[in-house]
Amino acid sequence: MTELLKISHTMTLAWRYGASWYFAEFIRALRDEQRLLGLRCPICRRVYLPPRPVCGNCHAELREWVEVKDSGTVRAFTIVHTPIIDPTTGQPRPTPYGMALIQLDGADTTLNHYLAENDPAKLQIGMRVQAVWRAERKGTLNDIAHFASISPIAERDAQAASSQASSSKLQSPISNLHSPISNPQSLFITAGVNLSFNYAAGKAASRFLIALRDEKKIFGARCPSCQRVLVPARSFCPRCFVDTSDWVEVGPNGTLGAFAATDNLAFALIRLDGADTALVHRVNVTNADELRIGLRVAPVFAETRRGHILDLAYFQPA
Amino acid sequence: MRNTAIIGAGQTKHVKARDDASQAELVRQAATRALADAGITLRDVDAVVLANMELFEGRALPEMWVGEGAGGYLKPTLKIATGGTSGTSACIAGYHQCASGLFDIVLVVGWEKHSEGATQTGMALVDPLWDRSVASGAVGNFALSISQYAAERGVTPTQAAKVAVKARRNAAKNPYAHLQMPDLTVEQVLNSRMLADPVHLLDMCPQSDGACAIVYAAQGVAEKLCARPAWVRAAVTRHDQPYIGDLDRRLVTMRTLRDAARAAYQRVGITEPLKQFDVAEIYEPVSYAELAWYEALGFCAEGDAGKLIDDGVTEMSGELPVNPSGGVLSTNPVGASGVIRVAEAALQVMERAGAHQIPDVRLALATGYGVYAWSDVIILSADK
Ligand SMILES: [Zn+2]
Ligand SMILES: [Zn+2]
Repeated sequence: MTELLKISHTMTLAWRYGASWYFAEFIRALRDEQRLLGLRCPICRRVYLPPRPVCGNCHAELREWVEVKDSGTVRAFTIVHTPIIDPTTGQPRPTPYGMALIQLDGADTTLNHYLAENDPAKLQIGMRVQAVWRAERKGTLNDIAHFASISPIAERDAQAASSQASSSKLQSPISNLHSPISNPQSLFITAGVNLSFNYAAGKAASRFLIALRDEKKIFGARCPSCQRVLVPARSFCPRCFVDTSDWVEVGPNGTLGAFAATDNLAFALIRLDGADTALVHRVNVTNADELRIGLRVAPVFAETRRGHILDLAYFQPA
Repeated sequence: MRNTAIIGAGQTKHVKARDDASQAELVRQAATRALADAGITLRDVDAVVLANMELFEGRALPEMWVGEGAGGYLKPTLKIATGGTSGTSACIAGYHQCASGLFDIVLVVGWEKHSEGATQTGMALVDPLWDRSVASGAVGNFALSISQYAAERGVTPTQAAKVAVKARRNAAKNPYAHLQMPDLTVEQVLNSRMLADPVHLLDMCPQSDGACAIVYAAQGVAEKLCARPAWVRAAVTRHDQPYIGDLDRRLVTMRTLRDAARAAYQRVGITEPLKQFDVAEIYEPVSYAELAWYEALGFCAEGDAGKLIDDGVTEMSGELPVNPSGGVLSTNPVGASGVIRVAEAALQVMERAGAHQIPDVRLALATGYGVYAWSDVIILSADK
């Protein structure tokens, strides 16, 4: 039984998303004024929160801002017990935590957000909740830490106390929001993540890499149909779609078929002696002028080998 | 449009990790088996369609990497990635290529190797404006919608667990299925670890390594190559708005599946799906979804899905067996899962399903489910 190798790679990926005017305006009001703004569809009159630039149902552009309250009704909930990777930190998120789809007062869609409560016995669809804002707001949906339940009595008392005061407050600052944004300002959202991959080499590539590691030998595999010797050795011929048959030792020397040099380490296609395909690898020269198609090259193996294509450190002029 | 049929299907054994095969080798195994099942060679194939969620394995342009494994050398080759529906979307694309008259024989191959990649992180790379701040993964998102569905339609955790048990019992008859748990009980499902209320570990699909392929042939070619082709009678796709908060009572309404099914049923003349279909292979990533799909697909009235599973209507021996293969709940290499649904429905029509063959299948339904609410519906028949 062949030893089966895995090839591991870790990649750091980074993105910068243009978030456009509607996101910028929503975030400005959220961060600077602790207010939530939705967009109303001119056709179906639904208020979208978070705001979207287009109503998917009507395919209409949304431009009319509407203030939505930071209290609402739970339309769906769950308690998450399995740790997921938090895309904002790249780390598993501590569990358990409550999640809900919350229809904020004044909105027709629901907002996906966290709940303060994580005991399912204390949750029910239809319960009333209120946003718990963070002391310091940074301009993300996480400026609301989570939503906490409010008792109907407390809510009624609070409404009664604030009804006179808030009615005027609600009307004045929102008036300028009804007109389209004349000078749209975009925000950018940056995000990054580390991803690890562990690829199975398969039987043929494992055998090829083990020969590099243990014997410093380079193998190709012959296609029984077209008779080509394929390097690196692989399990099947892509042209003939048949399994390869014999393993053939090739090289170790070869001929430069093509190269792209940025310095004295060139990226190259090398036709090893006895091979019918080119190996993609690198050629190390003292002076880039030495590089030419047809140059004879010889392999240099790494001191420490681990079953990897870079066990073949590079090629150099023979 | 020409009549088009599936004339062959092939798949790998689906497992947790296929360390013995690279992705290209895995894909080739399924493609080779489908070609052999169709009785053709790669030379006969005019075009190849691939299905894969490349983000999970972190290989950009996987069609370049594994295309040769699928036999794409010097052939028109195209990759489709639409989440869970990748496989059914690729099957619909392959059908369009053949039915349009563009190609006579089309090979469709779907695969995934979850063991190699960062599926969890991949799933978390959702809408950067809104969802990433409050993401809770596939299970959390599903669980949210399940709470609405269960409350509104009265399905119980026990009824959902019965779906999970049915799937694993059926999978025991399918040698290619990943999870082999023939003796699983409802109690075991209910006592398994809670992932996100009310979804237990055993209510959820696994992550599998595997590949599956089907071969399409146009009328005139199909009958010559296959004694009992599975004719495509309808293939419909529907997408919805992408923000989960916009999908009103997602599982309750499941308007994409409802609408796709309605359009497909109309084309084929199906008015009583429970009676008229002989078998269904539906994409159920979680036990509760199967119950919601029963209602969206019109197998029962709204609120009666629990009764359908209680009464055994969708068991292997019931009036409409659902997922005799074991379904997504038993096998889930995402890019392949939709192809498996179509392949299994075709195998039932072609009478090649082996130990999980349902007798006398003339009309079969296959569905796909992807992202938050995308749906594909495909109807196959022994009759043109
Ligand atoms: Zn609208
Ligand atoms: Zn060959």
